[in-house]
Amino acid sequence: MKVMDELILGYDLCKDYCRISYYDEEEETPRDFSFTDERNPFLIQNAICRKKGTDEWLVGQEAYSTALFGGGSVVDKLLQLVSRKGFATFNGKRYSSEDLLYHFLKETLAHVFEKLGTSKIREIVFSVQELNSVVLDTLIAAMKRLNVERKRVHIISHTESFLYFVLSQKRDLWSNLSVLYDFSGDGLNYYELEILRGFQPNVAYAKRRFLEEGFSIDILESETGMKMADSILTSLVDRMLSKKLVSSCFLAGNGFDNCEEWGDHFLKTLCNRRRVFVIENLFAEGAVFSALERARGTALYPFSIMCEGRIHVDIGLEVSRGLNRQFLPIASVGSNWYETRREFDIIPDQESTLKLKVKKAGERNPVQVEIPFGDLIKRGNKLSRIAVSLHFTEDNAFTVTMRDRGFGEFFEPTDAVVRRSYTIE
Amino acid sequence: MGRYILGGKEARLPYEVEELNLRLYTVEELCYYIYNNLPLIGDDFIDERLLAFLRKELGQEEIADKIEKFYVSPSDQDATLIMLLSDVGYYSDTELKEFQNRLVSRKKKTGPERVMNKADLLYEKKRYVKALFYYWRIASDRDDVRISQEMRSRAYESMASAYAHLSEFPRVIQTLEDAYDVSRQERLLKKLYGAVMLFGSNLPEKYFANVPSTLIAAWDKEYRSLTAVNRMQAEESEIMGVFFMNEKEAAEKLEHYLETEKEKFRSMIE
Repeated sequence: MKVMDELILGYDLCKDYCRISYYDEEEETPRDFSFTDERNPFLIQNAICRKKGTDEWLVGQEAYSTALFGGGSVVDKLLQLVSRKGFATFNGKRYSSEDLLYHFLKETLAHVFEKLGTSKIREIVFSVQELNSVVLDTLIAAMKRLNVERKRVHIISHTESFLYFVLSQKRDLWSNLSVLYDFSGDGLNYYELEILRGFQPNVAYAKRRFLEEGFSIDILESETGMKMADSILTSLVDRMLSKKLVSSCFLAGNGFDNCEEWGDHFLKTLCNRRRVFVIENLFAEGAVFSALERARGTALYPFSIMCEGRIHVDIGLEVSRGLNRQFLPIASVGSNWYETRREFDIIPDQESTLKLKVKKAGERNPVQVEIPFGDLIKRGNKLSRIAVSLHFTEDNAFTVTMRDRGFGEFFEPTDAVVRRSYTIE
Repeated sequence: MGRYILGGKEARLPYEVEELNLRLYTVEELCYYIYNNLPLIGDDFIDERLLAFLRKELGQEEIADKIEKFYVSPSDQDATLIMLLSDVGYYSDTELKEFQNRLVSRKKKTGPERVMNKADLLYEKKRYVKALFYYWRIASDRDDVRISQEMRSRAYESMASAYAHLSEFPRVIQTLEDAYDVSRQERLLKKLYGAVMLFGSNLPEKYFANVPSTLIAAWDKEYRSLTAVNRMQAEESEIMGVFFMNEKEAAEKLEHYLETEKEKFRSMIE
């Protein structure tokens, strides 16, 4: 493996396992990171074990094996534990889910650092199924403990990874619809990407749908189960795609690992006049392209991006600066909600409310969101400097917080705070 | 129509206003200071320190460059102040017009009048020691013909008020005597009487020999009613000050005092 200067990493963190890809600058392509030389070297189970009587932490298959031979107990489904803010006890000592995630990331990244010859991370993008704020906060805290600068750590949804992955392919693979079936421990999920033309710039729009018709991966262990899976997927594809013009179709997730053995009809239906690809590390590779974009500081593709995890509205405020009136953009369509946070100070002049302009993507006229200042402006006109902070709590929900900062040494700040949360319908 | 002024950059090193012991951190605070403290703005206000503050601390290079280009001598100061306030945009056109009128009327004032205004503003801001310095400059200047007897007397009287706030009671008596010596106003004698009674001094014959006993009796009644209230409330030092304060201050203080007492009484009988 080549020695790299700085790492551009994509880290797919699923419910059961994780995969890592890195950007090969020489070949200008993402490479899948191989953990071991075993049957599925690119995947590592989300399991962690602390070896009895030592300070050693083991992850993946090694953790299971050690536990099997009595070398310690094992915790798997790490992300579930994190989202529940749970705890686990090893050798009589209690560990928080953040501790466990920290050790898990430390161990998995240690493999990467060792094989690629550097521990210097330029950008790392985690790709997760759902952007749950508890998981995101814990991930960021764990990476902070690993001494990776906050600005180099990003988290995107699987939908966004899919979008980045597809756009990195040749144009004829996404000129019409591009779809993905992801079958793993998270269930069966369907993703769709289309380019919405007629906008400036055009919009790359991706969405995900959890398919209720999906089934547990475990049924593939029996002959009858395999037949049933083939039948369900065949009718699903037939119903979903028969009337759609699909440029490319991708299969991902460990559920499709041996699908040629059990999904004969399904594959035949899917491949009928469609190009189909099985990509194991699709989400990790998509995350690498997202990391590459951040490393280069310019957009890789000439589209504005709309998908799960990205904001669907523009938010702004009319303000006075010097002699001019201008529009202050606070949040923009296509920004990652988790990273959208804007703070600024205003001094209201003959205004008793904050009037934010909120405009949905594709709509012409903004709506006005009014938040009363209340006690923040009690001392007289233009004598309150108010700190306004706006951050998103989901891709369709935001919170505005306003605090009284006083007015220099003329007027002391008070404890007055106004906080309002909004959901965008 | 309302608006939101976007808060400008905050200075790491503030602009110090020594006379008010005040630090300014933003360009809006600077404008507020200029607008509301005009008597303190001397002819040397526009200087290198102000320009460096605008440029380095507030990031207002454009405004600083404009001032530097425009300002040649102190005679340009008023126009420069208007330009600064206007470019920052904190004040409306109406407010700027009002400020301009104040600048014009300030220009018409004599030097001693401007010093008096400065002292009054410092007094208002409770900067008593600094206010005393400027009052003393007026009171002690015997050569400047622009200083009338009335102005000098008012300077001494204001000094007495400032000393009262500083609890320098012997000096209260002395400056009230000086004020009376200059203007011979009866109301100053009344104040002097109160001060003398308060500190237990003897009534100076020089001032009170010719005052009718009925008038002294009336003053005495007023003084005793105040002290009686004070004793009841054991807040002597605080309320006694009203006797030496100017009328507006005394009225405010008494009103506040009475409101508090009424509230206490109400709560007692409820």
